[in-house]
Amino acid sequence: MRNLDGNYYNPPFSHIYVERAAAEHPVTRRILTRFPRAEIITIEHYKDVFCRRGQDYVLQHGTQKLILAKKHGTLLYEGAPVCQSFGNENFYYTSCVMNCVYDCEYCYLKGMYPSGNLVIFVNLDDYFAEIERRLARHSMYLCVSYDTDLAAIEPIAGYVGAWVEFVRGQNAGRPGRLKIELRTKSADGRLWQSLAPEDGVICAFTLSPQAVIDACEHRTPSLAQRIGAAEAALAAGFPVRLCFDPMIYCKDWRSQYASMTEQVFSRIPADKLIDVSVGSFRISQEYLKKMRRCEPGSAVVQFPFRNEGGFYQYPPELMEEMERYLAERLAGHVARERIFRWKA
Amino acid sequence: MIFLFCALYPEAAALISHYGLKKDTAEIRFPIFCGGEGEICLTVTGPGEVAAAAAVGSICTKNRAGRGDLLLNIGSCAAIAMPAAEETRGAAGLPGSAFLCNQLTEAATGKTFYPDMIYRHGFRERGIVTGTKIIDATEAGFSTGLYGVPDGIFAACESDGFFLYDMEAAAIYQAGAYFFGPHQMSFLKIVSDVQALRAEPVPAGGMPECAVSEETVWADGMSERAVRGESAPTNPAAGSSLIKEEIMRIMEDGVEELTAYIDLLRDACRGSDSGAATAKEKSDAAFAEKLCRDLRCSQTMRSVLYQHLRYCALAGIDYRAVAAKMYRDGRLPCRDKREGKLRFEELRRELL
Ligand code: SF4
Repeated sequence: MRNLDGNYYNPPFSHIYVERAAAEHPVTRRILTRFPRAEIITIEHYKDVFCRRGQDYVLQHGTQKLILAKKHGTLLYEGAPVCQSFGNENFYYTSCVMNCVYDCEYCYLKGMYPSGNLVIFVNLDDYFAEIERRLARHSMYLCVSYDTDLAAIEPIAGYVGAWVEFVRGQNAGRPGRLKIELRTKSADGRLWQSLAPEDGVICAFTLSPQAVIDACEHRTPSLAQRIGAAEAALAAGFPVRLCFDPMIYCKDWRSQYASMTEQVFSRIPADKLIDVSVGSFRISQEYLKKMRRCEPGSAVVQFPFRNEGGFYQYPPELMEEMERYLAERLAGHVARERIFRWKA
Repeated sequence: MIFLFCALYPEAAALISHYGLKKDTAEIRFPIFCGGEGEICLTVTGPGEVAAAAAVGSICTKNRAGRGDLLLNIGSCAAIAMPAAEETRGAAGLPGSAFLCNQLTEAATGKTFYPDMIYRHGFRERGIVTGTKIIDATEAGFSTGLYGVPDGIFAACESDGFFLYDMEAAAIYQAGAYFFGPHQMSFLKIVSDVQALRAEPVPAGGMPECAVSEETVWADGMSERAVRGESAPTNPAAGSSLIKEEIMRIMEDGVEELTAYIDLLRDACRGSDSGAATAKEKSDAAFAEKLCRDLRCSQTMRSVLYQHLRYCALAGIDYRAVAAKMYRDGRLPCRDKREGKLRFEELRRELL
């Protein structure tokens, strides 16, 4: 026996499940070259692995496997009610990757997906073709890093670069036709500097107080590192959005969020930001039910939320107080019309 | 608890002696051996899918298997080598090699099951086909059951020219799925012999008819002889030459590897939440019950209060101190439900 050094679990991506139909796809081949030691298991359909009964999301996530597949059927979805459109019309989102390499305790993916494994759909070109068809009818605002963090897996998938080039191509000579949001907690500033800037690509950095990061945003970069990445994206010429969403309650939330705001704007020139968003944690009741079952030891998901129309959120007074407090602090730096608060 | 399932006694013997397992004489349907500090329960199921599934269903129901437990199927299997693979790729050297199975294909239906590959190990990995019939050694052909095997199995052979074949794994997975998630089940097989596929190309309409001799088919379920490994063949794919001693020998040779893996699972099992309440949890529950009574809680208030206390315990908020102050102030216990509602809201506010 090898590897029995006291650590029970396989390292991430020790196994890669590959759909037979995706096996010869160039993206599959490229990704597989990055994992020469992985055990490759051929499967018929990603759901044969991803949708098995009785999976343990948390345990799987700790020893995450990769699934490479082709997505069929619906490739674009209309924006969900719990998400902000930032005043944009024709708001869509798309999931070319399912699940995330980061491990935020409050992440709705734990409630939404049956498996903690990461699925990369390799047929990104099909997504692009579908978007082009829609663009022939109307402009679009599209969130592309939705059920994942694309920038965090850029060294594996390379999808951020592909999206930036696609948007550039679509907007050439017709600016503003396609706008995408790439939301991330990644701190890879070099990524943004390695790409030519594109006005249609909004780099949205999710920021939290360091205490919240330490407590429940496991495996994510520190606040200082994320600020550094936002600085790099700005310096590279990308439109940058800062997302203070979800706000997480803790006993000393006021001082935590106040000092975070100071730290952020001591480095980020507020007038260069396109906008900022503020929203406290909210989630559908089905997702929270499952998350509470699979994370019994997580304070953030065990908070006694109030159920408002099928969505759990902080008690209305607390939610209002938290969001208003942060919005006020932000207003000291950013013009009010560029501060977006989530509205149900 | 680790539930071990072996088809035959010779597959189990080395494990029984390594862990000093004792036969459970109270169990009459299947031979069961327990021990290993009360954490191992080994069942000899008898060969074939039906026997294996029946044993898993029966033993896991009886022992209330579930969260915090693991299922492990250990046994011998055949390696089916693609034409020419035996000579060119060293398939002949496979007997005695242990494999952890990462996909289990049921030959009869073509369905494939995927146990999670959670735990570190030092074995080679491979898919296994579970069939209902024995592959005949002299004819070296397929059993009819392999008609349903998806192309993937054959594609998976391409790298080193073979796949594994047994008569239980896929059935054990399916029966085990009533009690365990895919992260709780492992399938470890040691190759007892190698069979070569015949070289004719597969016709467009499917696999060729098999050549399975009648006497090699397990037709009588689990006979006592089969359980003891005395009826030949002992391996579904092995033909009649393999006898009890050979299976025992390969299992004995592999026992160190096998038990190292079992021990790792046992440690992981110990570390996982068994669902049993600790003394502190019990005392917290008693405190919560008293609080519910003193607040005259309705069912809805009760569940909300429990959620608050759960959160406070996790967030390090001293809810006992908050409640104690309310008792000291005379705000608890409440006289009636009306007052209960009032105090309940106060408590919620003061906790957060
Ligand atoms: S970074 Fe986003 S997608 Fe990833 S785990 Fe955290 S909340 Fe979920």
